[in-house]
Amino acid sequence: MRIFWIVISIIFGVLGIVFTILPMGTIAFLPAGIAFLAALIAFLISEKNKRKFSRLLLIISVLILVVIGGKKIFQKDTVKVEQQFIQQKEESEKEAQKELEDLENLK
Amino acid sequence: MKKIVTIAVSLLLVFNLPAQIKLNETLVFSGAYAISGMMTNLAQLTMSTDLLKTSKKSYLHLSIVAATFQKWDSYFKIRDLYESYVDPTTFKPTLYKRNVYEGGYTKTETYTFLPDGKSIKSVSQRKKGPVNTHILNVTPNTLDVVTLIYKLRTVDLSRLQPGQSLAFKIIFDEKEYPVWIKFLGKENVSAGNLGKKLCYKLSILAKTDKLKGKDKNIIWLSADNKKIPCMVEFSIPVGVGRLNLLKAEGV
Repeated sequence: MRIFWIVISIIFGVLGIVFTILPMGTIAFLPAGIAFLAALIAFLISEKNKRKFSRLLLIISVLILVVIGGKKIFQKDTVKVEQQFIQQKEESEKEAQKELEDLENLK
Repeated sequence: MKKIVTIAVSLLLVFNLPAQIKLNETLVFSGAYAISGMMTNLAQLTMSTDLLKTSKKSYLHLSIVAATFQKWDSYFKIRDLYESYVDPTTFKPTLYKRNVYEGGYTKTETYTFLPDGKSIKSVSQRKKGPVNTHILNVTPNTLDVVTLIYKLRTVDLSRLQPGQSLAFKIIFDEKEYPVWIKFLGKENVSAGNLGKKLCYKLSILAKTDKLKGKDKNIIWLSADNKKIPCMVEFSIPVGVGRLNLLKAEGV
């Protein structure tokens, strides 16, 4: 049973790391939280002399949770200002002006 | 002198505009999309108004820009531009432009509302495909989607009873659709820098497969004379999402 929880913790821990690298926001809490719980269970059911690995998993999952929380708090959602898009908008407005004038001349 | 004339024209236009919509107003929304049942912030949506002058007329330029947050740009970049040029007093559209960039997919559409009032010239192009030009027959008073959102803000909603609907016709993807806006009641909604606002809760119903579910496409408009969109929930074939008002300027 101990091995089962360790495996679960490793799988969800890896998923948690992937989700943390990707811009998944709060969703990353889900695998990281499961990894933490599985590591905690593995730690509690392990004999005292066999707790080293589950303790390591516990520390890693806590670190992942801290990084996710930090990203959520400190990383602001911003839109990149792109010169190309600004230019596209300006061109679109110029085209529109011409099209509207052409239409007015039709009337 | 030219500047004074421009300011005077702008002021005149402001006085002619419906009280709900101001020139140079900007509404910024945060767009979230449900991934694994959790709302994840994906994009920013900006609605703005300004004035476009031709040699003969002035138009209210309504624009909506959707752009993914920088963190998403490497995975799925969105830069969508929806624009409409309308008569400032009647809100009748003259020109609608749609320029879509979604993860490499591009589409441009231009609808010119012809002077006869019952036909639209459509020019569209998908990716680098051929440019298609069609004349579409529509019923008078058909609106584009951008105009519909703004038009809704000019409608007196105070007399509506829950369950009552307003009917509109819109043109989207070269097809005309009937759209019903059903009043569901009033609710308090968080509205960014405006704080909490009592809002009209309106359900958008359309005979199209682009919107899913019954009463799952909802817009909350502030229940005051400005009728600012404070929140939008949508259900489309690829999932559900939400827009939350972050900032309202010049309203």
